[in-house]
Amino acid sequence: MSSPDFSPVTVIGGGIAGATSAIALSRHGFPVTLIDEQPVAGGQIFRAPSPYARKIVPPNHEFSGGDTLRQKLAASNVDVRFSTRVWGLSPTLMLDLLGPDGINQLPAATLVVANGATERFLPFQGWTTPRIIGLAGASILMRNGGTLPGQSVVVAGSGPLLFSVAHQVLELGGRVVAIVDAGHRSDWLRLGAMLSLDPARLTQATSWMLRLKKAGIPIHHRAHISEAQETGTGLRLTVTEMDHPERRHVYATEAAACGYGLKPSTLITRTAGVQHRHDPVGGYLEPVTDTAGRTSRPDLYVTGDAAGIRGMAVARLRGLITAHAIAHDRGVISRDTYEALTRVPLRQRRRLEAVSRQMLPLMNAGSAIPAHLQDETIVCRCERVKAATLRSAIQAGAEDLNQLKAWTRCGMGPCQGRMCEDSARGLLAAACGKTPEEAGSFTARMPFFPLPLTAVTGDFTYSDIPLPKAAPL
Amino acid sequence: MGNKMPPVTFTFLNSTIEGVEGEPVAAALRRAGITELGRSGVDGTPRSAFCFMGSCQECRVRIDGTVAYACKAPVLPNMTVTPYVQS
Amino acid sequence: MTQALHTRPDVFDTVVVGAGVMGATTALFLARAGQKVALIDREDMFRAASGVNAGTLTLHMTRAQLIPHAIRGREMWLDSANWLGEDVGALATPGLSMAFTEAEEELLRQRARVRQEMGAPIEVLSAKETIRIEPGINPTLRAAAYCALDGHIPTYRVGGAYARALRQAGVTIIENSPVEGISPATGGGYEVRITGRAHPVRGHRIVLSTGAWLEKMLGWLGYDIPIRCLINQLVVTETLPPVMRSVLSIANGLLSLKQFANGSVLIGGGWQGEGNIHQGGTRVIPENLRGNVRLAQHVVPRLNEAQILRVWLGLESETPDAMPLIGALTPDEDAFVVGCIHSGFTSGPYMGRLLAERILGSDPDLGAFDPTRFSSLPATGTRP
Ligand SMILES: Cc1cc2nc3c(=O)[nH]c(=O)nc-3n(C[C@H](O)[C@H](O)[C@H](O)COP(=O)(O)OP(=O)(O)OC[C@H]3O[C@@H](n4cnc5c(N)ncnc54)[C@H](O)[C@@H]3O)c2cc1C
Ligand code: FES
Repeated sequence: MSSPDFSPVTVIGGGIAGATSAIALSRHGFPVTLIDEQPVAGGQIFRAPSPYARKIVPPNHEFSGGDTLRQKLAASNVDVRFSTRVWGLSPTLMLDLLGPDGINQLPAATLVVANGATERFLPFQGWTTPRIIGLAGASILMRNGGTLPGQSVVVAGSGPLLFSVAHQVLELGGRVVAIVDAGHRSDWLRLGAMLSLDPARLTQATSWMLRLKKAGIPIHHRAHISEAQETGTGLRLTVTEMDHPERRHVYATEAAACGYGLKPSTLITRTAGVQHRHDPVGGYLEPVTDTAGRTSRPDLYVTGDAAGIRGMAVARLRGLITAHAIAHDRGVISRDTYEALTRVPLRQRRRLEAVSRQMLPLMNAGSAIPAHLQDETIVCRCERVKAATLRSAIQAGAEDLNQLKAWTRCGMGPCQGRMCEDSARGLLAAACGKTPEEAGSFTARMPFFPLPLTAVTGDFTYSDIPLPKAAPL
Repeated sequence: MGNKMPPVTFTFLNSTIEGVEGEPVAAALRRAGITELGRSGVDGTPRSAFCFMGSCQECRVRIDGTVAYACKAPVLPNMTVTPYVQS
Repeated sequence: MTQALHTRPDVFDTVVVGAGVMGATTALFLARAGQKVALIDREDMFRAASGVNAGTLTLHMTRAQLIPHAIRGREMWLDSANWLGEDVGALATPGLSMAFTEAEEELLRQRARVRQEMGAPIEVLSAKETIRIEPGINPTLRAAAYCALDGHIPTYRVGGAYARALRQAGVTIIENSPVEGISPATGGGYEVRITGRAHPVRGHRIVLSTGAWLEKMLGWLGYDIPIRCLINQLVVTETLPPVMRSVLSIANGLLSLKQFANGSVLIGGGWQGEGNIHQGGTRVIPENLRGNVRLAQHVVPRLNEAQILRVWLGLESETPDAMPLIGALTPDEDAFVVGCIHSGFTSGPYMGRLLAERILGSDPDLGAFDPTRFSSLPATGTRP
């Protein structure tokens, strides 16, 4: 074993995976810095509830799990930088940060990217009205904000979050008008059959389903919201069956929550230049990693959902395994110790992952929707670019996602294409007969989110500006 | 924190809004029936908190003049919230 | 879009390598004159400098000697509906170049004088007069040079417009095709070899218009011209209520500032990033980002309300004398070059058209741009 290398490790993301990894790395003796944009650790699922939510929302596993994680982190030697967001990085892993004191830089010798997932959205006519909110967003608003999106809610999209959100609406005393799922009923039954591998999930799922059934909520499978109209007091939603477009259902509701599953957040890994691949089952781009989160760069590891969507239970195990792998790669622990430490987590993980993988096709059940968007539908929310504009640019020869962006501004707005990339890619691929991989991905640009100009300029006087030599005459 | 949560107030445009100190501004506004946080700079249609994850950028407002995310920024007593005006 | 191989003629009249504004305009006018033209690019067209530049149509920043060309280029942009086939949204505005210190004022007057002599309608205004024109400017300024002929163009709209025009003119567009070699063909003309393709593209004549990548290609034809690659930083903000109408710059040329019709403000001026054209990959230098943005905020204080939406770097090429390369590379007049033109987006359409006219037999004055000025013609070119 070569002499151990205890140089510092930087972890981006204080969710389950990142925080677990940071604590374990610190126990191995590494100086660890953990960066997260939220004010405390917890990430998406262990997000700290607001004071109001703590009172309103019934106690649950996510609150207690998050509290435990935060306590463990506080008791560790990890140097935490909260309310700090990574807005860029260089090929040498110099991180650009925006924190409470403005912008600054932090060099990372070894980087663990654990920045989790973002939700996949697919558009429909009228989806920009304020009464419509993302599905994960609805969950955060209710679970962590104790607040209903509306007194009555249509829950739509795909994946297991549908049932979680519906359950949360009921829990807060709201009415679920309907559940609209892009997935096949048979895929759910297949998933149900596997849940015995994950008893915790099985219990949860059973109790949700019973409650939803008791409430008599209509559930449409292989269906999607095709149009939303603002009525002044609420929404008039049209639900269309995907295999029988002539079959429509109309609902009146105060609000709707809609989202099509999760995908890894890849802005950071793409900018760092690690290899990525398109996962055809998940329908998303993910960094290429081994079981321990190693990437094509020896100084960069990816863990948790950022390396592919597998859910919260797996996230903890992944974070742990990645930490042990770094300790091993740095000569801090031997191969034998590594194997001893990871034997149980790897076994648990294999079992849980079998279930998680079964969820991917359910999350990706809306993949055919972008091909059939109506011309008038807004695809890019920021720049308000419609499907018709994209189609005419494609006809003029924009056959790659970045060229399409350059010609139409789709994806050029403040969200960096996070909201429209999936639908623009799907529309382009369908129109040119390409695979999603061939259609491409938006090139990640810095800053990853809009930066207040004054955060960059700070206080200065004219003579502080280092003016370069004048341009030639 | 005890179980008592004395409400605090803040202003959004011309209305006084009641909320709980520390909760996201967008949650307090929604309970007060306010979903529209501003207008699109491109076509003038209403914008609102959509993703609640810091991705969509549509919930941005100004709090005492400084741009902030309503889905994240905590309610503080007597603050002034105004729309983030795009051209 | 890349057309199928079998629809191409065996030998093109002209093969243009490099589909930015220079190459695309040359190709367009050659095709309209009846030539069979192929236009090749390593990526999609208009993705390098011509797709990422600041879109300033300025005479303040253009090299003084190129002012006549810039004036003509600017006119073409404003008239794009007529020659390109669609209005790309170019906007005529005045341009103001400012001085905040005594030294800058001196530089300002000197630069204004040289430009006036070259035909730019520039006059120097007092601070008071300037603020009457642009009330948002920092009142501590000393003087400004006012030019009636300035403006800007939303760069992103240009690529699509060219694609439609080229296709209509019958140009064969070959994208995502890096050229890896050019050699004379037996029986005349050239063979242009593309990475990953079995068959070369053949042409009686070639035009090199590969911008920052010209150095290597000129080398294939026996020229050894060191070409410097600038890595220019640009910053764009989110939309803001109107804060300026004119294109703003400062005396030393290191700022360009404008607000587009949609309200976003573009901050440029040639501050440098880091990078290497051969290895690819560029990176923002934080001090240069801060410097550039501070300068902008100093000039228009209300930018303190702005949010930075994007920062990017674009490659620009420059010859040892900072003057363009436009003209024939061989005595047989079957190889040409067009590129390295300072503020080339402004004059691009005009320069491309000039080269097309030259190839088609007329004799525009291109003397100052002669590519052979750095060395004598390579011994009878590359003809075997
Ligand atoms: C609403 C919702 C419901 C879900 N429901 C379930 C469920 O019921 N069951 C289940 O198993 N899984 C569920 N998931 C998935 C589950 O949340 C994840 O599998 C798990 O939490 C992943 O953990 P993570 O640590 O990889 O990512 P995260 O928890 O997302 O942590 C990533 C962290 O990175 C931070 N970050 C991101 N970018 C930056 C940046 N540029 N700078 C600084 N910090 C940054 C974020 O703030 C976040 O704290 C759900 C997800 C969501 C969003
Ligand atoms: S709601 Fe999307 S960023 Fe706040």
